Amino acid sequence: MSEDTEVQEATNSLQSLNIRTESVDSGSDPEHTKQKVDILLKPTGNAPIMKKKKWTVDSDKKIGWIIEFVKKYLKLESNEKLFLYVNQTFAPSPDQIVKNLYDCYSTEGKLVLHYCKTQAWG
Amino acid sequence: MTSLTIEDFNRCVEDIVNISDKLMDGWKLQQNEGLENGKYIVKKEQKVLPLEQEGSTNFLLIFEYHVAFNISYGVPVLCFNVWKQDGSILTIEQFWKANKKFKDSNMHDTLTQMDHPVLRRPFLTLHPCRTHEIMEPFLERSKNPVVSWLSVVGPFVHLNLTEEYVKICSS
Repeated sequence: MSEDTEVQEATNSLQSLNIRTESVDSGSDPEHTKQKVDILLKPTGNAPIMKKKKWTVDSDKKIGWIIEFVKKYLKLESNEKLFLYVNQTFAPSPDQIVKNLYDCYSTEGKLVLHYCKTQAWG
Repeated sequence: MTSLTIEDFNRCVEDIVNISDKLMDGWKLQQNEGLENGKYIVKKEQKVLPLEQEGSTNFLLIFEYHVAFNISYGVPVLCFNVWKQDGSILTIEQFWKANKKFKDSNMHDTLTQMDHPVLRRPFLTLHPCRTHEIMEPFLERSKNPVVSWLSVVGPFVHLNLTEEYVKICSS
């Protein structure tokens, strides 16, 4: 009998926990995970052009994710290297979050990233 | 600017050392008066990395980075050597195994043991023959193409530049 009540209590508390996490999720969703930024991808050097230049990405995506995305989009070989440049002056770290770069370097509501590819290193 | 001259290179590395002095970041300017490309900069750094061949335990390693000018290719080169605490030097294979950034790359296409352009001693070097392709997009725009180039290649060999260096490229 007492075991039953204990089980019941546990189930109840679990449910209340679920309800709480759900409400937290739905509350924060529009604010955080849904935030997106516009980026413009431009080729330099011998990099092929992309048919679609303007992209909207989640602001918490890492630069490394964009690099992998462009490599896939351009169907590059796995040994080909793709680099992204901000302001055509420096390469952001692959761990950098898009939002940080957008906040510092966006112009007219867009973050312009130039991309360049090379055949391996040597 | 379609390529980097020795004068450009010298100015760039002097700028790097000036910033480094303010930040106490450790870059030092070295010079061999007898050579046309005699100027280069050096930084020593300690890092803890796992070396696979001796279990997955972390090792304290001493990295010595050199940035020098390669006349034949007309580009800066990043060369480095790594020592363990017992003074033994890391071979190219050992370094390769400890480095996760080069997945998908072929070791001998990427890193080579080459003579240092000034010291003429063997160093692990990122292959210089594609460096121009990497630099082309920013050669005209960047105020310091050597910093821009280091921001591209440095992270592959555990060399990271702080924001203060990157700022001078566009100011």
